Amino acid sequence: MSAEVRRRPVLGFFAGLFFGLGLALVLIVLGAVPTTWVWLAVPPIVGMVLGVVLAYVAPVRGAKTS
Amino acid sequence: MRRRLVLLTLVGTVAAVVALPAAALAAEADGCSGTVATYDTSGSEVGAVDVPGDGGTQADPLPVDAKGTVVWSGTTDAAITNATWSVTVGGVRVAGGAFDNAEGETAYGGTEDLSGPLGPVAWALRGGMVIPVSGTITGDGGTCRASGWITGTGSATSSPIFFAGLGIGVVGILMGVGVFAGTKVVAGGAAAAGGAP
Repeated sequence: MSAEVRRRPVLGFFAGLFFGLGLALVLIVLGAVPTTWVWLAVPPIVGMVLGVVLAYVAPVRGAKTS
Repeated sequence: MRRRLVLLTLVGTVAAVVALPAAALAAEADGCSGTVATYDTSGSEVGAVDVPGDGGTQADPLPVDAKGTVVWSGTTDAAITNATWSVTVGGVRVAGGAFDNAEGETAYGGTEDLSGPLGPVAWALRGGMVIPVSGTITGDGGTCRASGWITGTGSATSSPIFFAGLGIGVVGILMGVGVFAGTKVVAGGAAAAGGAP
């Protein structure tokens, strides 16, 4: 029976999107970055890219037998 | 290989953020000058700035009570007629219009009640957020461009956006944990993943 590594790039995409958007909102309210569309858009976009990349490089945990 | 990929991605991300175009760091005006004073709902002055001048910078933004008023006055270097004007906040055009100025006036002024235009978003304009604002008048006889920075009143934790950001960020972190927890070896390949046998 063949074994295959299951990864979660879609989940990573949305994880990065949510984390980036949350980070952007907090930084804006704290005044750490200017309130512009650039700073509202860049963290989520970067987060989405990083989320997908991390999904593909995340270490494989354990093995599932069936 | 994977570590190198992650390192390159992180370095690229940091470089992209640092390389973002820096915004203007001072209140500036070209072709005109003026003063702006902000007041809260009780009529107490919240802040004032001369444009061009030392105040209203990104480091020292002009505090604005979204439910208060703004008293402003200004002059243009030359009479601007048949003009159009616009105001942008945070890079978004929020007001604009046109006037003919047949009398050739160069001095303007007024008191604006912010509870009207900003009333619907007053709940959001709290905390230490620094917001770039700019105004432009263009017409026959010259152009006036002014820009500066404003900030809300109250603490950051008085803004619901702060807690919304925290909540959304925590959801993202939990999903990120799911990414690592869900990366595993499954037996049977496509069949185990729900694909064709």
